[in-house]
Amino acid sequence: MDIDFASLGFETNFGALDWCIVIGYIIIVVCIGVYIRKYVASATDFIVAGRGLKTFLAIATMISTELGLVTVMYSSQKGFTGGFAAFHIAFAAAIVTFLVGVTGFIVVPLRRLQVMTIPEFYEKRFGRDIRILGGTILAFSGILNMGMFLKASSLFITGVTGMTSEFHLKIVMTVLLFLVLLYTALGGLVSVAILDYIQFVIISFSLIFASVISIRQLGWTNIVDTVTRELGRGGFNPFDETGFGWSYVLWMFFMGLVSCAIWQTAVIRACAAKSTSIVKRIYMLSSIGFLIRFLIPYFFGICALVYIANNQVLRGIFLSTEGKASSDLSLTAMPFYISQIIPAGFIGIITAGMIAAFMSTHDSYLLCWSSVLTQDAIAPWFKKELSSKARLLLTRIFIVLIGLFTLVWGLWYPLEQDLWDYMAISGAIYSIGGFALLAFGLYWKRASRAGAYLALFAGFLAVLGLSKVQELCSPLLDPIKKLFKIDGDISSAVIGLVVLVLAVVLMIAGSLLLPDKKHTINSSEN
Amino acid sequence: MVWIKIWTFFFFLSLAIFTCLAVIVTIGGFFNIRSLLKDLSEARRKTSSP
Repeated sequence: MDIDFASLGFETNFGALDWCIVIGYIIIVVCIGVYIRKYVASATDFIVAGRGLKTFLAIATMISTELGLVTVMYSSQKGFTGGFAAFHIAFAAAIVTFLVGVTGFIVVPLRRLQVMTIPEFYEKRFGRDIRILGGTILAFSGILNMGMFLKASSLFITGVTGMTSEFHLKIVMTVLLFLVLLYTALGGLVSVAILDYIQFVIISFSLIFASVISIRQLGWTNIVDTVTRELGRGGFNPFDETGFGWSYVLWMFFMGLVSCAIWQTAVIRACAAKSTSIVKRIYMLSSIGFLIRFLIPYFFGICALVYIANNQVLRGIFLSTEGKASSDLSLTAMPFYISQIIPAGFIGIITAGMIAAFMSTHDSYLLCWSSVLTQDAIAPWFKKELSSKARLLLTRIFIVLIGLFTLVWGLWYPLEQDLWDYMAISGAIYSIGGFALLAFGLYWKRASRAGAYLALFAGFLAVLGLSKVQELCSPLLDPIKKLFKIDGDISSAVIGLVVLVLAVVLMIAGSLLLPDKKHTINSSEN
Repeated sequence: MVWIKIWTFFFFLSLAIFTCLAVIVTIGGFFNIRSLLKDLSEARRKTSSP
């Protein structure tokens, strides 16, 4: 997208002072990373901070990890395209996280088992081969899921600073990747937890401040009126089929469960907590964070829509004649809006907070997927247990390789759907099978290896929710579309729900028809 | 429209609760970091001593 907004009279408020704030911030966090390195003595320190996270730090690190810049970007895009109705996703995430906290569903038995990764549980419950398969699928899905992180985050920085050319985007992507690799490879979760805390402080107060400014500048009545005019009923009622619809809402409740109890980056926090009572407390309190991480960015997206829809020049650029924005442009609408409405000085603090948010999420994800690859896909192949030093080295190598993948994938993959839908369905490749294995493995004694295999393979079918994959599989999918009279792509929500039901049915059927001769472990017995 | 009222209430309530949480976690987290670093230093000292 090479649009020179400055020549159209839309100069960014981001100035020299803001650059100083951002650069100063980056220098400080890298110094902290180097300093913290001396505290890392083992793989456990590196991956789960020696299981020493207490409540407030655990909440800060959990919210920070989940409130990354990419979250802000995909959520604001959803707010921009879906209006207030997108709030239901935040609501679903908060309710489900709170219920997981109250009941301890999945996370408490996992913490009790003292596993570091979910596939480690697969091995304890179903055997080593399931661990390797599950770990490989988890890493594949997770790495694919984070494939767009770097690009989306870089789009924020180029959008806010007014550097809108493709060349600038590539430079920003490379610089960001270098910074985050340096930081993550140095310290592991100890430094990640401390950076997460700093990021939590900056991003929380930045979000609150930007929300207040937005309401003051645009006016609440104006915001509501513009959304009504642009999106109609579908902009408020999530069940309205002109907007999201029932299947999407249901899918979002499942995604809420995945985000907090099945997704490895969230579960690793539960595994890092000092006790199971702290795990429950973290989840109950973090439900507010899970709510806010979506809600405020949705609101920024809505504000961007209001700002753009009420300006004829911007309307011509961002909104087509039907009132729907193209996917690429809707992703850049929020950073552009921020660059126009937030005053100089503050915009630097917000950008520093967002870069912190990017680093915090990106380093946690890099650490998470590299440790899954090391612990679950590589280490189980060795007859003699790998030393702590060898695991650390492998983890660091994978961190660099995954980082490079995000650079290449971000530049190469054509995103033809909303970023959130891409994230949800790419994550579902793992999380659907993962849900079946965790829920049944932890709570149903008869769950067997055969059921686990079937559920994992069924979950992989969620890959069909990616628009590019649907395009490639069109000869296979066209008869189904004809049968159900579907025009265009099958919605990723529908595919996700169908695959979820299939995975659960196969888990039950496989376990009943092909039971294990003896089961390895059942956490309910602990 | 009822959804406008629901989302307006929901948004402002969430913002207020999050503001309180941010203040509490900021203060509590600071003390948690101090204690984490102390624990890790202690563990490191123990592993390095014979």
